[in-house]
Amino acid sequence: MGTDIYLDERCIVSFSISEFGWFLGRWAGHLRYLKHNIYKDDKFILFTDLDYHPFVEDFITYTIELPEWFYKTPLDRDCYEAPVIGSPPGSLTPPKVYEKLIEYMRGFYNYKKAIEIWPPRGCNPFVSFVPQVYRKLKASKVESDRPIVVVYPRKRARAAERNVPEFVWKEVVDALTEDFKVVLVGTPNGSALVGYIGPNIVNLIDYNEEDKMDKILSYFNSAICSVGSQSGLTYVSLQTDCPSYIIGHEKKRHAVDENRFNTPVSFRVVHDYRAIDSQTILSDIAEMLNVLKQEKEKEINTHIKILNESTNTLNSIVEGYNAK
Amino acid sequence: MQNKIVVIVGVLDEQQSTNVWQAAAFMRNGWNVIPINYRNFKDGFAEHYKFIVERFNPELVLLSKVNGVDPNIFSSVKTRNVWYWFMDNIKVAEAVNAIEYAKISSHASATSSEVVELFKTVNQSSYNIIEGFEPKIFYKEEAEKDIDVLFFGNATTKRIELLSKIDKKVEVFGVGWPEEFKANNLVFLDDLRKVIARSKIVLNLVHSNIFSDRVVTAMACGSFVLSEYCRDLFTYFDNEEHLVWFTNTDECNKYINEYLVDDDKREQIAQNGMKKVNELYTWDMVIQRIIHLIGE
Repeated sequence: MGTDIYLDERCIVSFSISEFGWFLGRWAGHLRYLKHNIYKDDKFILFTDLDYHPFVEDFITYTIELPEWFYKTPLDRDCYEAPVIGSPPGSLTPPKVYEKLIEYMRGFYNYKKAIEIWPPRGCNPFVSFVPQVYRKLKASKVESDRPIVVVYPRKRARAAERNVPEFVWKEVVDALTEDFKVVLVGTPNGSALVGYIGPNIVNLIDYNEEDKMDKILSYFNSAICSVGSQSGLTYVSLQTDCPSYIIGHEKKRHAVDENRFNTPVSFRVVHDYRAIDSQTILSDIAEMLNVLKQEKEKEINTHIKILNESTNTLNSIVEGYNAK
Repeated sequence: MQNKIVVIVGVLDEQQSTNVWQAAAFMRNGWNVIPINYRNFKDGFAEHYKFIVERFNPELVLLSKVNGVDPNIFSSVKTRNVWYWFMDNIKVAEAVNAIEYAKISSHASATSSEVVELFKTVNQSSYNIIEGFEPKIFYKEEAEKDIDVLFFGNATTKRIELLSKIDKKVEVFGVGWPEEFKANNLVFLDDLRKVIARSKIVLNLVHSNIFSDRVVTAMACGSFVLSEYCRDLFTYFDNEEHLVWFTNTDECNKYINEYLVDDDKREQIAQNGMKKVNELYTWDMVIQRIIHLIGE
């Protein structure tokens, strides 16, 4: 990371200027596959938000921030590319912006020696059909006096019909604080409950320090479950192996296809995100935690059974000889 | 004071397995043993290992010649001491990628000094420790000596070739031997002790620079060991004091003829060998050394 980098050697270059979920759930997996299988000895450069680095630090040599002017340009980055805000579906990044970006990136490496692997243009299913490699996201665990529940309350301008109403999130969070420490995560311009605080609430939504993503990963890694609706953070929850309660309309996609590590998922299918109430969410969460508890007990009993059997066998062999 | 805990990952459900007697020695030294029979897992080994280590927080995890398991399973679970125990020659070590296990362990040991040298390239806390024996099983038993020369072990090309050149009849116990050897089935533990007790000479053939636990076992049973020479043998025993070694078939035949008739000399060497292994190489002694080296 930094601006004084110039690689005059073969290196692999890519970028991500679009939605976080697609990057984490698809493109990063494909780039990791290329590193593991095709370009093992080459350095990888990724141009994107520095926040993304914890997700790719295992194989990306340099994560370089996008240029300042790009962040100031009014673009909608919550889609496959970064079109002008308010563009119709399927729109691409303005050509001049795209061109300028490439020009900016090539200032960091010798493009004649580099292999540039750009994300596919537009809404393109190409990546779904090429190999991808994922890794569980790990971070140091957070100590807590009560169980942690991570909540990511989506509230985006784009596809606003997929936002669960903010008052519902507030009711859910308030009820959860009775038994849990609730950690609110997301971005200020993509979340409800910005700045909402109270007893047993840690609100990271408007936390803006460099370690924000590390903190979020730590909380997901330490939580007994996460609660949210389909969004980029759904991928984080699944890739941190955090049992996930997801409200959404694409059950198979999130619970199966893109659930790379078979993380436990309880999926509430909704046709209208605005119609779900807090009681439904809370009873779903209680049921999920109950199932998880039963599964855990079953798992422990299995281990204890194996342990007892192997200990008894060993003892009977040894005692058989001791008795002689 | 609460007993210390060792988790042994190996084969602990077969009485002829070395791991059972390692475990017994830990128990005699006041440790609680948690066995994990890793080969019995079709899946779920990683989860079981993690569960055991996290629940019992053992002072030591002993990976006893573990192979075919992802070493990351062990390195991803935090524990105090992980000891990789290896008891085969350098070729096997290379074939099973033993170095990867030595690398992720806090300590490693091998019965072959060549393998220790290999381990030291990735883990400085690597030691040459030979296999011990269980005194409750392997001890001197009086019996009529009706076998002149005994060899126990399975057939290999080298063994077949060498044994074919022995002038005296060699009583063979093992599998894979050609018809003319009239080999008996392999025997273990008490049965093995009884066969050794009937033998005047126990023959040992080596692979590369390593000698097998056959040497210690036979000595523990008070038998005279005639072994093919290897570097590691020199490290642990004195020639013509604890055993006798040869470097070629002619020498082997010469010593067989010589020691078969000289009962006193043969018995004296056998006696010295038995004393030596009882002083230094019971499983209790071996395990105490491991405990000492990890500082517990």
